[in-house]
Amino acid sequence: MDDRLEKYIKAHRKDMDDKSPSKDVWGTIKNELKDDSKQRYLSRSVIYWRAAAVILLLITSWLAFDKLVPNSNGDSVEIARINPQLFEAETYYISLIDEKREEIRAMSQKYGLGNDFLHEIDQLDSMYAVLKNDMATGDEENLVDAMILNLQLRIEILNQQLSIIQSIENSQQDETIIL
Amino acid sequence: MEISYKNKHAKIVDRCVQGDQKAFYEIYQLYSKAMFNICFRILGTQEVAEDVLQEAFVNAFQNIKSYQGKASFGAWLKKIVVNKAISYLRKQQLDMVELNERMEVHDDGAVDDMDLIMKVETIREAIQKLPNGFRVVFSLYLLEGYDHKEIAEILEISESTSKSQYNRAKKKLRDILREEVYYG
Repeated sequence: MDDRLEKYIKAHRKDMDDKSPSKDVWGTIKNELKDDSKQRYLSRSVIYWRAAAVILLLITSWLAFDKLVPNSNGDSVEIARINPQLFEAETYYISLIDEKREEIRAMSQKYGLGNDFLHEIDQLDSMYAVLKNDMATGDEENLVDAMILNLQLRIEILNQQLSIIQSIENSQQDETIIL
Repeated sequence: MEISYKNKHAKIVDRCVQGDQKAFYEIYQLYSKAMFNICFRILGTQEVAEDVLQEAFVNAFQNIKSYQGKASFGAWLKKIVVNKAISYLRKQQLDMVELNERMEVHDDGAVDDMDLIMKVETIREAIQKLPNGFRVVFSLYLLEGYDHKEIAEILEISESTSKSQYNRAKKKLRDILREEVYYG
């Protein structure tokens, strides 16, 4: 079966490789590897954020429990009247949170990731409602701090989750390429 | 071929596993040319071949821990490169086998005029003129040293298809070479 053409090509195998990649290729590879190690770091930092969310939940529950009993009329508190600055901050943060939450919901549906992503956010959300209810009875300083922290933490968690989903998105694209 | 020695670069690979950036570059230096030529032969243009080469190296480096030293590092890397290149071709929706079933192959006449034709450069160019499916099977078998069983797995075709594709590719290559000499 080994005819002369085959033999000739085999004998000149080295000369068959005459092409070279341009110098840019290595640069791109190096950059992509850097991005990759950043992403790994990112997923580790998400664990810390999750831990922070749990700690905040505990503090909030403790604060809230203290106030829960005397304030059971259930009426929503008019923050705008009691603390206009907090009201402003709340409006701003809540709109950001809603936006990101919607984005995550859409993306996790698209990739079949389930609802785990929004679990902490929902918990923080309900703790926030309790804190807000307590505003009527005073001890404002502690409450306002806890509320702002709650809002900021939710945004931070949502941001981290968005980048996780994005890296899942990227790696899924990668995997379809490997046979 | 230099890359076929088992674990020849085991030390560099170990350093890669530990995340040594310099080791990645050394690996790239050692293998990029051979790997690039595989990409080029399969894909046909410098630009696409570079894209796929880059993607394959990034993928290999990211998954370097999964290299267990069973085959030579070059063979492991080559498999990644070939797979990336083939799936790129597939994405272009070129059904390789079907395409080639329709290709006309002239029956082989005299073989002796091959003497006139055997110049490395002419052959290199003629290989690039083969249709996708022929070119892929031909390069994987004759130049990259895969057997028909391996090619069948890579391309998801039967072993006998791989064999017949190879023979037809060889005939087609002769046709192209003859045309080069007589009409080129």
